[in-house]
Amino acid sequence: MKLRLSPQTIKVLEIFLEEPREWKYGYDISRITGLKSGSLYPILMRLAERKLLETEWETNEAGKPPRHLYRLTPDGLQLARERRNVRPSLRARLAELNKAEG
Amino acid sequence: MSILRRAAVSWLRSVVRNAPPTCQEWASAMLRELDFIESDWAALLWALGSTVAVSQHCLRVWRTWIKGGKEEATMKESAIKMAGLLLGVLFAALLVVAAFGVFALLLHFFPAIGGGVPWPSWLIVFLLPETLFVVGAVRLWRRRRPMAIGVLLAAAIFGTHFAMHIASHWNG
Repeated sequence: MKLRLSPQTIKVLEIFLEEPREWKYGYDISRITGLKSGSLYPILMRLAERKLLETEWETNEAGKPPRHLYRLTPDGLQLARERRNVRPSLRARLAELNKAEG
Repeated sequence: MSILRRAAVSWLRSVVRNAPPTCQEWASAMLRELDFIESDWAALLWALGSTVAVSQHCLRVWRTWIKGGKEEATMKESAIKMAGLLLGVLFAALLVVAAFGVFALLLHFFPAIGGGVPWPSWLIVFLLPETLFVVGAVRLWRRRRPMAIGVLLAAAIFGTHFAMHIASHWNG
């Protein structure tokens, strides 16, 4: 099944691309992207279902409940990088069109 | 802890408790994040949004499961039909073999049958089995249609073979 790359999904992928090796918390991603839990988690779930995102429970520190962590898999990273490479060219084309229209 | 936050926590806890196992991990993940949300209103909105996300996920999982189950059921049904059809062909083949066996026995005990007119042999090895095929297929048609089709298929093959045999060996 093909993953629909909505602007929100692309935003989430870009956040993961900033530090690809680092695990991220759901709420942190929500704060950075401005996506609410109802929009963010379905994206994370779909990415995880397609093995583009790996999830892990944080190693428990004393007294603290564990948190869920997220990181892109190699496939996810590849997809995110492909998207990033496509976007600047699109932006450039749009800028050209805008210029041409005056 | 404010009322709003308490409401958010208990709401999301109940979502975790009542969520099916496939969705529980995600629901728990969302619940854990509540502790790190500073604003109480934001916590409540987080809980409500999480409920929507978990519900959507569960529905999608169920839909996939039901779809998969249906496909599996269809495959099972097709396998049963195919087995019925093959069984019908097998029964018909056994009947033909039995008819030939009966004819061989009759020839053994009454050698006169073999000479002269070919009708007795035709009756035993062709007409009798074909009649039984048709009667059997009619009886089976309602309850075990694939098997009936298998029997009719075998009858058609056998009939064609018999006709070709007669045509090639007929001397008038």
